[in-house]
Amino acid sequence: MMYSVNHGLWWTIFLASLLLAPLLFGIINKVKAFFGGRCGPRLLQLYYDMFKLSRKAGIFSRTSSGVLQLAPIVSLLATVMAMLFIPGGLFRSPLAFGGDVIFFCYLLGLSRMLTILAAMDTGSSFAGMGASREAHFSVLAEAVLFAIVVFLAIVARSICLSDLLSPLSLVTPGISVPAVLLVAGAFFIIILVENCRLPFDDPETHLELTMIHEAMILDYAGPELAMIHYTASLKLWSLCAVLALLLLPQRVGGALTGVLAYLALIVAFAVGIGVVESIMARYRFLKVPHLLVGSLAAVLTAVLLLLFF
Amino acid sequence: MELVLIILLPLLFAVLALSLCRHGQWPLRLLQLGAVCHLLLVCYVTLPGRASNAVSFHGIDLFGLDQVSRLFLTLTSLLFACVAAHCGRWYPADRLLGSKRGHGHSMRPGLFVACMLAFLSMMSMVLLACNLGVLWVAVEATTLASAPLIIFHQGPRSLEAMWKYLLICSVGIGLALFGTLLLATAFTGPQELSPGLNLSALMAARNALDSSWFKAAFIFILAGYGTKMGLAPFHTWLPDAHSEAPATVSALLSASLLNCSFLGILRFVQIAPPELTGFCRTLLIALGLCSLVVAAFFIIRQRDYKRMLAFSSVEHMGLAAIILGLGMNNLAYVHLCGHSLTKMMLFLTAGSILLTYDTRTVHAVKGMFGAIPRTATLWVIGVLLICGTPPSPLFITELLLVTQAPLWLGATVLTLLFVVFCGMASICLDMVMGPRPETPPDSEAVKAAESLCGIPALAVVTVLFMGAALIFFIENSQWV
Amino acid sequence: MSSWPAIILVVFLLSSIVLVSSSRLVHCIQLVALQGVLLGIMPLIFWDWQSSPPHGELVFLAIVNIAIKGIALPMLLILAMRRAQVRRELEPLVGYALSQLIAMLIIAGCFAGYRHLIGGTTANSAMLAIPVAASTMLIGLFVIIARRKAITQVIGFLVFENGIAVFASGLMVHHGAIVELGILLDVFALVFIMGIAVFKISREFQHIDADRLNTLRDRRDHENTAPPAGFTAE
Repeated sequence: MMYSVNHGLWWTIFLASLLLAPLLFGIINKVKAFFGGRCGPRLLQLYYDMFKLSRKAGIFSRTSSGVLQLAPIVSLLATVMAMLFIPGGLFRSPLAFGGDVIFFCYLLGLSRMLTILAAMDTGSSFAGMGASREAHFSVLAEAVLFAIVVFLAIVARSICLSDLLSPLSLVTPGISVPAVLLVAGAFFIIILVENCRLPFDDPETHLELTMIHEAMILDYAGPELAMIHYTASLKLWSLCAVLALLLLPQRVGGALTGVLAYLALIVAFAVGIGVVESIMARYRFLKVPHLLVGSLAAVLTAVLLLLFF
Repeated sequence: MELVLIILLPLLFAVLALSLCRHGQWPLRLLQLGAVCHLLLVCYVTLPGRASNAVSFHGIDLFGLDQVSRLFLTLTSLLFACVAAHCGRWYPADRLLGSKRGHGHSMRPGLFVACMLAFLSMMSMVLLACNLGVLWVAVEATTLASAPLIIFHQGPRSLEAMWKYLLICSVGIGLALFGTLLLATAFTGPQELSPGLNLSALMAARNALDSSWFKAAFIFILAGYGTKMGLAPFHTWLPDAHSEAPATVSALLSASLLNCSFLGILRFVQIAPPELTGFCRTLLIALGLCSLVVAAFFIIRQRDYKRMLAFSSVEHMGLAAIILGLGMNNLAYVHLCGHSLTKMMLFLTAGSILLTYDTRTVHAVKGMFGAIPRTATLWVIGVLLICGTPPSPLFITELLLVTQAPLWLGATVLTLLFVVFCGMASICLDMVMGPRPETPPDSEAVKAAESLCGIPALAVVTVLFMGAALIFFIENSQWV
Repeated sequence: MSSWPAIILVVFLLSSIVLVSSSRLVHCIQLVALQGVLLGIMPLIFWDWQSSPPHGELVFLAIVNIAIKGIALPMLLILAMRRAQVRRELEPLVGYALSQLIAMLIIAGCFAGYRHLIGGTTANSAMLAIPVAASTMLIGLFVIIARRKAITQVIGFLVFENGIAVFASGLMVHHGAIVELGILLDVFALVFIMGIAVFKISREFQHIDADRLNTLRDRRDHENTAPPAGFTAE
């Protein structure tokens, strides 16, 4: 069974994900609140925040250049564009072309690059420190991401994102179960590092010395900050969606069950992130590369298993 | 049943030494008693014409006796008895002089005796094993039993030697275990006929062994047991351990333990499929030659006379490997026997020198003929014998080796032997000749050293007798 | 469930990679314990349950294996660690990220070499044990070489030994319960003696850096303990 081609449904899912993405942060915060024995912010808190921010006026430092103003818009657009290539539930993306997986990765990369540039543009030392850490970790994370792409490409014999994530391609008998588990584990780590979640970066910290993502956006306010929040939630959504498609079982029945299972998996990942953040402490910066290189090793082991067994 | 007793008896004595008779002269008596009982038992078992039943358990042969193990078992037991007798005088002297010179504590007698007896028991187990798994277990156990003996004189240097011995030998023997497992998978016949690791079954099934698996297995075995035997690229622990251990322990390590590891390699050569004999022999000759070169290189200008003896062991193990590689198994056994007796005597004598002069540096030992004439005489005779001077049995084996080997090999071996001879002779002459030292060794030490000459002298006589008998034997039969 | 053997082997391999990158000794020891437990259950997992239930000997060996390699040895190591008063491997000879990369190279090399050896035939998951065993052995040797502390070298040796055991249980090499018990006993006694040695070394030298145990070598005048500065071997 390949993906069905149904452009109408795909666009519906796409628009729905644009709407639902900020909900993920609400879920994560609820889970953390549950573990902490608190009531926690409302599920829709991020929507309220964004609404509040968008009614304020932006303000920019006089020493900064245009990059600072341009960055939020461009990175939002790049992320939305990347989402255009993700197959929604069981439906092939209408824009899919051979090699779009690389385009997808680099659209996310472009968004990150602009954030880093904007952080350096402010001239603030904290933002610069955050930018340097972000660049350091993303170099390592990108290696893992591409190792995963290589793995998927070997399985699917294609480098089109819609083909790579076709649910059939990963379920072959025998050895592929540990390989898939390894890849899924590594991808979950990638989600955590790309979205600056806990073992790598503490999204709730108020100590500038230890922040990464929050340190880079210290100089933003108003609608630009809202855009940055929205971009972050879209990025989390799209990576979770890719992992969900990777693990979506083959025997999902009709279109409706397929879509529901897809959404349920995404929500499950958000819950998982919340659990991880509740039970783990942030790693020392020196240890982060160990974890990333370790996950690279895991993916390479999976590739070896695939190639040789 | 008596085979099991050979292994258990020393262990029993070891437990006794640890539990009941820990103090005073008792442990040493126990050591000597244990050695004598073991020797008697071994003589009883190896009586000509007597056959002992193999011991098996759940269909796995554990212990048995064949021609080779008879020979080496007798030899080991004999050597151990000699060393035990030597210990009776050496241990109190060493303790007394050590405390007088402020060397700190040496090992407690109970523990020392227990480790020695356990060591004997494990060596007997190696020699009796007729299952490759049991063989491995026993060889590893000899390492464990002998490691504590190396730190007899507790100090940083002996600790370092013991650490190297433990780590290098254990890794090496781990490789041998891997090789053994590879061999277990090499059988290609039907599953229910699988010989497992039983030696006799493997020998019967040698034609059904897969040759590439066997090759891999043999390489690992050679590296593994070769480490324990002190073959050249893997010998690095040997000079340290043999020089830091006390005299009696070095004598046992060098004279008996190396033979046991040799037996490990020999078993695998015996079960090699016929088409792979050449492969095994080439490897053995290569490693043997390498050992010879390394030993010759390090013996020249060696500054420590116990290390010199240790490298001489490396040299002789290399020679034994070459002889085995040329297919002259019996000659290899004779060579090992000659080496064992001579090297035991040399290490014991070196222990007396160490007692007298309290140093292992060659240039600090001068004028031995003046100070301790009996020990000096034994030392000269021993060095000459180990270098293969004619009445020595090693002369016969080396002569046969050089004449039987291909020309290039024979010439190389001969050159290297000459280098070794020059090195050892010059060191030996440095030590025995020259004026008496300005600060003469104290009279108590001299007396102790001179009273320790009995067992080495006995060994010299035995070696000379053996050499003479061998010449006669070779004259009378075309035996090799 | 035919994929359980593969999953166990992969977890085993990952634990070696994590071990190479960990600086806390307690963490390393826990990983070795995990490997020991996996090793214990491995013969049961590899057993063909459809045809017959495993015989008592196998279960007995599995229990003894878990008891020794999974519980007793780690406890000994932790005891030795406390006695020697070390917690971390600081300043290893090869850094942690580089060690991980080398471990990856070793694994890739073993898989490729194995592929080369068996030719084009398809392999089943029991055969996966061979490259896993080989790479675990090599990683163990690498740990022995690349770390300074004597106790880390013991851990490396245990990893090496575990690699050999994976080979044995993966290929179902049957060498009899008595030999198996003998091997376990040997390893136990070895770690026991090494633990005592670590303690003695730490007392004698005030450190347990094995690379600084280098007074014994063949050169002039090594009878005197400290060589003069700038002295080189002949």
